[in-house]
This record gives sequence, structure tokens and C-alpha cells, in this order.
Amino acid sequence: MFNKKLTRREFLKYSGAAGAALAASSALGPVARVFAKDRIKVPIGDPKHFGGMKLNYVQDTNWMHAPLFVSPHIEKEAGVSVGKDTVEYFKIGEGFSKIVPQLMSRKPKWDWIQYSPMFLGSFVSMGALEPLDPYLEKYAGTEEYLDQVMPAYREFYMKWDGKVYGVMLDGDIHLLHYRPSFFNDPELKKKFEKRFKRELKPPETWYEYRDAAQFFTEELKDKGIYGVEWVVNNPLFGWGFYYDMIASKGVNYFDENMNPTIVNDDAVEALELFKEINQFAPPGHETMGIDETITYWQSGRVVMAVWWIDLTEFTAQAKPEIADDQASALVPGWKIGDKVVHRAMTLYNRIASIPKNLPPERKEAAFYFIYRLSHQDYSTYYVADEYSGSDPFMKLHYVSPEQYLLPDPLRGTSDLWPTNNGIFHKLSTAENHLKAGYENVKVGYPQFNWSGAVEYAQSMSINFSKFISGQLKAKEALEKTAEEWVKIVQKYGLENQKKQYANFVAGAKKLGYWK
Amino acid sequence: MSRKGEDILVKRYVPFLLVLPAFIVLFSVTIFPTVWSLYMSFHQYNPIIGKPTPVGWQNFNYVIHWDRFQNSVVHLFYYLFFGVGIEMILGITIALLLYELIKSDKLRLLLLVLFIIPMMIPPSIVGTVWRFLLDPFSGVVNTILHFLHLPAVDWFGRKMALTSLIIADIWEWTSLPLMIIYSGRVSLPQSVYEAAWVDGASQWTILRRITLPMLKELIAIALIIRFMDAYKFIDKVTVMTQGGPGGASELPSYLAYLVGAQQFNMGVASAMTWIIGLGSIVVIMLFVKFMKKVLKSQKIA
Repeated sequence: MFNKKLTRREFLKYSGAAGAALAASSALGPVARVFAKDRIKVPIGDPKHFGGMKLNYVQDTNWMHAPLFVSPHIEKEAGVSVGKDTVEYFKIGEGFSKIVPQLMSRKPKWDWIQYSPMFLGSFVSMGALEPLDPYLEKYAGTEEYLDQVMPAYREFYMKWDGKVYGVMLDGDIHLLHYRPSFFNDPELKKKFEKRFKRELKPPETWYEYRDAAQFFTEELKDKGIYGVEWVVNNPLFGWGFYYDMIASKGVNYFDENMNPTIVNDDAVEALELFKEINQFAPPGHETMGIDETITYWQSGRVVMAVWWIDLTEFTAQAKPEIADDQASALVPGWKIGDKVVHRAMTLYNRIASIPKNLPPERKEAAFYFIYRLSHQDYSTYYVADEYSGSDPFMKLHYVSPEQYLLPDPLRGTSDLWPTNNGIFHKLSTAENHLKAGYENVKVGYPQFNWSGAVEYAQSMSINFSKFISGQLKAKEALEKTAEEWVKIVQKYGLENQKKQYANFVAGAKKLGYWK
Repeated sequence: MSRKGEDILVKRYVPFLLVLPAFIVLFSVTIFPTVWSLYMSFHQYNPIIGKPTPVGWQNFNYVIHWDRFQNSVVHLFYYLFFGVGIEMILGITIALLLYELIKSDKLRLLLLVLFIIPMMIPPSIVGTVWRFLLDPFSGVVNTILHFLHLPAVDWFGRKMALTSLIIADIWEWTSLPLMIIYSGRVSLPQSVYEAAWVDGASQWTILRRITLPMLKELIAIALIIRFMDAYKFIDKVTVMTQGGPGGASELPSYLAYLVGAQQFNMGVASAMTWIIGLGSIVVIMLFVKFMKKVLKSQKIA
């Protein structure tokens, strides 16, 4: 796709045709096809359609302003909007407890909620979310929209039990980020070739990653430069950086009967290698969190990092001097047979859903707003905007690198978004950024997204952190995690968990992650 | 109704009406949540699982036998002993030195203001600043150690994470006992000291026999305030270590926050807060009893 240098316009045409074909075949049920002619065209083109309704919503504090600057456009289309005075915020770790009471309320105060799909299963099993399929069927072109969303996001984060409950707003994915200046340094290349009998290039396997990390640290430590970094100490996300390694070994969380499948030789090997690689990270690697890893990367003293896609974007904004000395690639994998298997964690992410207990007219308006907000018509621009906080999640997003160099046409400047200059400075940087993002999402592996997600994540994070800091051995950490997971399963009820996990299994089978 | 009857009515009901708003506020923000949390502590409640179901003492039993909670209690005692202990010793020492050694009122005032500044900064900001200062890779403290040819310290590693929290806490809160003791020292009667000087008592004897015994109640108050704060110690943990690595710096209140606010297991979290609350009441009561005994033996009380 990228070799052909497909333009955005061409791609739109392409995907539009594909979407239409899909609609004509089997994407919708027979009833929907019968009434396809009666479906509402989008954009509606009537500023009075929803009567000037202003929607209340909630979002996390780390996400930014896309709803606010897209709102005037949607208001012009259909007379529904949001404003600075209609938004509330929650801290990332506290989203669940902030949102749940409102979802349970008979009169929820928010018309739509932005949250991480790690809570999707919980909210659906509470019966608190409005299924979106009937709304999608009302509007023309929704098949094309669904087809545009990358499968790793669509299957795991939008759908539950075959129904759509959320629309994507932000696609998070892990990438391997590296600094080309070190990989292209002739002296380092020569030394590496002499030592490892192979060319110095971005690693494809975890063992190659270990070798490169060790090499750079040993060669450059005197200059204060280290081989790698990743997030180790974070109760909610620390586990996910290890899971990049274990998932690519073919290990899933549970079997179909909710017996943990993480205690095996593959997982032990992966965990031990994780610790070995971690030695080549800067001092304090036992406790590196999200902020520290960003700071270290931006200081220019780390050569490689497995991190979320936006690391290079943050750096391009904060440290323009090293903005173009960043490149990204597939997260390393394991050689299985003659192939290297890669899995990249899709940690956190953001979706939008509608509370079930809203009055019908507000649901209608809220659906239109979040659907249009997520739609490629707008998201193609704001995923490349420094004030949106969103990353690509649709196929079209990955073929629009030029947008990363241009002002966002959806907005001007204001006190909330004082600049509008694009994120990157060179087209090649943007192209590489998107190419790596696309390749990784193609092998994107989901986080826990069923009831108990936070507990599973925290249990794994703390036991792995104990292993990294020497309090437990690798196998002990895995066994303790498995033991705690069993208790969590029992707490939520085996049947309940089996039913919910079946959703993961279905997605994993569809994407070929389930043997 | 007669005038007398009206007076009786006013006397009987107006006081109730006057305290009613205060009672409503107190009931809704203190009494009701407390009773509700007690009710929840005997129930399993997670909205995903369903309505609250009574589980008797199960939540308390779970919390008491949970290794993470047990470890967090050990960490709390470590923090109380070293953190609060050092804050008290430093606070008392600086307060008395300020009073005894600094003769210029302006300089004394200036130093007092400087000492009080850390206490005025929000704890989350203090935590963030110390997170950067103690950063093992690029922090100021390790840079200074490097400059002095001393080995770098992994401030947030397993062995040092809790100590790093204590360092930041000491920096912020030493000024509380300092202020209390300083104001107490200022109010002590000068005549007692003059009598001691006439009797030829040394500075050390005056400190041991007069100043400290007369300040004992204030020291106890400062200690109790810091003890109570210690049980709510959560902000710096969140910002600096997130309880890590591997739970090495988890304190009971932080754990209760994770279980309650992040996992939304209200039953277990409520049980935990009751255990923490009752624990703190017992410790403070024992301490007050001990203080009373000391004061009685010295015929101060």
C-alpha cells in the first residue's frame, strides 16, 4: 500500500467502492438492504435537524479537544453540538468509578461518554450501553465507515457479542521507536558487525532487540546513552509492555474455560528476557513510568523504545531538534518456524458510547455527534492534530501523511489550541510514522476488555514488577498472577467471565491469534 | 395563641431550626457516608456483579489476610517511625534554635516564612518536584552525587522507594511541628527561665527540665496531627512511585484508593478504610493515654 504511494483521495475512492460492495453483499441484514434507499444521507445538511441540542459528555483529562473543535462543523450539518461548558473530565485511573454511577442512573447527566475500551465488557454486561447497530442502519455509508476501522480496533473495542457499542476516537498501539543516527553511525555499524556477525539494523526479534540494547548500552553508556526503555512501573499499563513479548509467543490470557494460560515455558522465557533487556535501560529502570520514559526519550539519551505511537509526535512538538532523528518499526517478535510472529499491544485507546437510560431524542442526537466525530470526514484531520490527543484508527488515516505537516483545516487557533502548524516537519518522518503504525495495528493485540479488567491488569503489573525488582522469580510471578486471576474469575462468576471472554476468543480467532 | 405560648414555642423550636442546616450538612457529608461505608464493608458490591450482597465479615477477613495489605501496614509503621519521627525531631530542634539563637526579629520572621513555604505547596506538586529531583537518570540529587564522585542511588528502586517518599514528606511537613512548637515556645512565661538562670541552670538543664516538659502537650498535638495525616498519605505515593516497584511503597490508604476508585470493589475498600480508621484511633488513643500518664507523673496534668 505504501509503496504505491496511494493518496488520500485515491484511498477514499478505493475504500468507498469497497464499502459499497460490502453493503451490497452481506454487511447488513436483509431488512437493512431492503430499506437502503430510505437511509439518511450523511452529512444531514440541515442545521435545524436536532434543534440546536447541546450535548453533555465526559472524557479523560489526557485526551484533548477534538470534540470541541469539530463541534461547530457538526452543528452546521445537523444542529447538534458540544461546548466547553458541557464537558466534564476524569483522571485515567478513575474513569470506571466516575462513569459507572452515571451509567446506572435513571437520568444520566452525560449524553455520551469517552472511555477506554478496557471497560467495554463491564459496561455492556451491566446493560448500561445503547447498542449502536440500529442507529448505524439508519444512516447511509455506515458500512464504509465500519470497514475503514482497523480490524484490531473494530473487533475488540467497538463490538461486543457481535453488536456495536462504541465508536473509535483514538487508536493506541505500541511501536518500536528508534534513533536512526545511532543505527547509521559507521563506527557503531562496524563494531556491531564484528561482534554479532550481522548488520546493525532495527531489530526484528526480541533476541535481536536484546543484542542491540546491550550493544548500544555498552558502547555509549560513558556518554550517558542507553539502549532501551519502556514502562515498567505502572499499575494499569506496566503489564502491557511485557505482554508485547508474551503475546507474540502465541500465549493468550486464558483458555476457553477461563483457566489462565500464562504459566508455561514460553511465558517464563519471555519474562526472563524482558528482565535481561531491562538491564540495558537507564538507571532506575525498575520503576520507569510513563512520564520518565517520555523525558528520557526526549533527552536524546535512549536509542530504542517500545512505546505508544505518539512518542515521536510528542517529541516532534517538544524537541524539534531531534524530531527527524526518530523512526518507528514493528515491535519485535519471536521466530516461530521460518516466520517472525509479531504482536503489538493496543493499550488504553478511547471510544465513545451512549448511556442506555437517555431519552430517545438525546440518544439520536448523541449518536449522530459521536458517529460524525469518529467518521473519516473529520478524524482524518484531527488524528494529525497536536491538540486532539487522538491517534490513527482507520485505514484512511494511515495514507494521509501530508496532513501531519499541514494546519488542521477543522480549526483556527484559540486559547485552548493556540497553534496550528502540523506535527511533523518532514514528509518522510510522517510517512514512516504512519507506516509503522499501520504495520503494528495489523498485528494489534487487545488488552483485557471484559469485567475485572483493572484487577487482572493490576495483578499482573504488580507481580511482574516484583519479578523485575528481584522479589519473585519469573515462574513465581506468573504462578502468583495466575492464582490471583483465578480468584478474580471466581469473584465475577465463572459463567459470567466465560461468556465475556468468548468475545475475546471470537476476535482472536478472526484475527488469527487463537490456535 | 398567647404571647407566652409563642415564647415557649420559639424557645423550644428555634434552637432546633438554627442547628438544622448545620446538621443536614454534617449528616450528608460525614454521618451518612460513614454509615454507608460501614454498611458496604459487610457487603460484596461491584455494580458489574450486581446489587450489594451481605457477606458478613468476609471483606475484613480478606483484607487482614491479604499480603499486599499486610505489607502496606508494615510500610506505614516504617513511615510513621522514620518519617513522622524525623519530622518531629527536626521541627522541635529548628523551632527552638530559631527562638534561642536568632536574635533579630526580622531574620526570624524571614526564616519562619521560608520554612513554612513547603507546607503551602500542594502535595502532588511536591511529589512531582521530588520525582524530578530524585530521578535516578537525570535528577539533581544523583548529579550532585556524581559530581562528588559518590555512587548514584536508585531512589525509586525496591530498597529506596519508601525512603524517597519519606524524604519528600519530611521536606514538606517538618514545618508543621516547627510552627506549633515555635508558637508554644514564644508563649512560655519568661519568669520561669529567669528563675532557672538565677539558680544557675545550664542551657541543657533548662531544655530538659523546663522547655520540653512545658511543651509536651503541644508536641503531642503536633504528633497526633501528623499521625492522622499519615493515614491519609496518598498523593505523593500516586505521583512519585505509584506504590511500586512491586508494591514496595504501597501504603494502606493508597491500596484502598486502588481497590475503591480504580477497581470499584466498594465492599473490600470500605472494609479497608474501617480497618485503617480503627487502627489509627487505637494508636492515637494509646498515645494519648501514654501522654496523660507522663503528664500525671510530672504533675502537669
